[in-house]
Amino acid sequence: MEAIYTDPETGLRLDRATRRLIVTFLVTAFLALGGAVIAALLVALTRAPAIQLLWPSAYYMALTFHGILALTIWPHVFEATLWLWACTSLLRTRLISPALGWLAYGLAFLGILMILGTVASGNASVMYTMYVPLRADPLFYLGHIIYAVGLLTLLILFGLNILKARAEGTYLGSLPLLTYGMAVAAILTVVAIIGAVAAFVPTVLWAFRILIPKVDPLYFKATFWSMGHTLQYTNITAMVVAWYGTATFMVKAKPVSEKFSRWAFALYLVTTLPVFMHHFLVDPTWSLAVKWIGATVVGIFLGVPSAMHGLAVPASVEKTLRGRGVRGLWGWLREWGWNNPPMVLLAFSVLLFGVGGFDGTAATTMQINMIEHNNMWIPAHIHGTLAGGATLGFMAFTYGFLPHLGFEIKGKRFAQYQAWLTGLGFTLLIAAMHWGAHLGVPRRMQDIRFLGADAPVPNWFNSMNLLGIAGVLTATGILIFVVIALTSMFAGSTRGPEMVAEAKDLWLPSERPAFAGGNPAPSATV
Amino acid sequence: MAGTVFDPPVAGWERQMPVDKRIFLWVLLGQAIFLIGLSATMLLAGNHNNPVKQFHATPEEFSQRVAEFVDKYQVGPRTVRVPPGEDAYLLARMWSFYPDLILKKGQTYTVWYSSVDVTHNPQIAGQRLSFQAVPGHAQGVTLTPNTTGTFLVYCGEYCGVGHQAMMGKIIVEE
Repeated sequence: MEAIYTDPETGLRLDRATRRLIVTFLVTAFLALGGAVIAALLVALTRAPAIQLLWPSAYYMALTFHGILALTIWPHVFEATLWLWACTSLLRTRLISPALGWLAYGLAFLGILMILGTVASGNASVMYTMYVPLRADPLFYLGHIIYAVGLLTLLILFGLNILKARAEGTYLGSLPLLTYGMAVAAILTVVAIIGAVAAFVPTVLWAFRILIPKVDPLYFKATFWSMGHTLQYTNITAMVVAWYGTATFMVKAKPVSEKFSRWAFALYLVTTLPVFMHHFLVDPTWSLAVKWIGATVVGIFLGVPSAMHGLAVPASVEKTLRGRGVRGLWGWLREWGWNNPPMVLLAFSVLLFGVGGFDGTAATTMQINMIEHNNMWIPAHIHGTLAGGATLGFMAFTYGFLPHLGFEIKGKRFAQYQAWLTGLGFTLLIAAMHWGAHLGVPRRMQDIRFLGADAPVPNWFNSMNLLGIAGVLTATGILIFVVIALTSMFAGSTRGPEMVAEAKDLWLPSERPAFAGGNPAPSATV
Repeated sequence: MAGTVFDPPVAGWERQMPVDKRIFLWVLLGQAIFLIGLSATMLLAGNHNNPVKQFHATPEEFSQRVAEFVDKYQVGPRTVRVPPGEDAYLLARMWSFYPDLILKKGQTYTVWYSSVDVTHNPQIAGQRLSFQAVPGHAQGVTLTPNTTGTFLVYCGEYCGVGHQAMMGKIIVEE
């Protein structure tokens, strides 16, 4: 007997083994998000000079926790659920091997424990960037490697499952757009993991003091970012998938042009690969010409696919609403769904990602990088693209995805406050960061009063106090989300499984095509 | 048979992109090319560029150079008056910048940055000039002070638990 869950809204089905894996990854992701937010709260309250909560060693540990939980763990663990869902439910097939999925989860979890444990022990306060020769506990680097192997295992499973679905002919014609997007994200991640091998293998040997006495700081920085910044594009691609997914869950929107959206996804593959070079604009390395091509030219082209998606997703909502009889040039914007949390989050996600993206593109210019490098401009860029963009996008998707899995959203009224609080909080936070950047406030600095300085200390305090206020608002909003998501999941599924005897694939009986078993000949344009 | 809301059209979507989407695509590409042209113009004709000057130096070699430089031009316990036309050296280490530099307004200097331990990033308060000091690599930054005063130099790259206390100063005289 097989246990199959069917979502009556979309008609998609999911088998119990895959569902268990998805739910486990989701819960882990939300716990990581909660941890990242608590660390963020401590960081924001320390950076506000009016409070300056933490002493240096505690502040740098909190900031390391925040960076690693929010960039290394939360988005990728959440994407794992997207990968699993996109290669099973969307393709109407089951996992080729749930055991491989559990192996991936186990490795990733072990890696996470090692990373967080070494940071908590105080021997790895080296930030997300961990530039050598800053030295952390060797287990910290080993944890990263194990975590990466876990992710790689999951990607192998994802690839095998697409091949399986293709061989069995369980989907018609082309891959669904969301699966296509996650396949692009998977390729980017594999490329990033090649960078991770180059960065972490010498470094872990150096940290254990075997064979390698010294790792060149610029070599580590280049390989680290060829992993690190490419992985951010995994997050961005998954965020775009979450955008399309949210629009489809909420208003049944279809992409305005499949070809346009697929071109945009495919362009990420071309434009993101040399993306690490803009980290070297003010480093003692290549000539200006190389820096210009590798950083500025690539950086500007990077904006093109993101802008394409940023136009295509709202356009798909607009087209759908117009199809339902909404009138006027801006009528669709009025009817967007401003009391519907996921649509509010989607709007903030698209806008804030745009702001963060512009910051990033501007910072790839040589002359701007000379003045904005390592000041609050960089957190403004990251919080626009990855916190305001990807995290809000994933949160919006969750509000559609949990009911899809059969979990009723608890505390709907709080969800509404949560969406607006988080969106406006991030807007204020990014504004405060830009204000600080305009003044030149350095990032990652525990004390901007510079106690003991024998030169005049600039007055930057107002911008950073505003950052503290915005940080509290945003953190509250996200913590409410984490509580809503976890309580909804722990309350249990409202939908029982259907017991099916030996279902070969996950087609609904009504839609099983006559030509199942092979790839069909293209019939009519729909 | 269109499948679920997540399924693409069975066939036909790949034939042609609608005209309005093609126009969007070309507008975006045009913008990108315009911005690239702008950045190239700033590099070729702008006056806010800093050509890359660098050499390899082990921490010991660079410390040696700094010691010679300080011996030659020292005016205070850790203060050096840099004569116009001479290169200046700034050594970054956990957790200070050494030495304090006295520069003359309107003169152009090359300041060589490097580090003896981990990566640092000397930043000049209020002036927002930021280049990396990387161990093993020395980097020359060209600057012409245009205001007099005492400027705080602090570290912009996280370098350990004393990061916030890592300071130095630059004095610009008439």
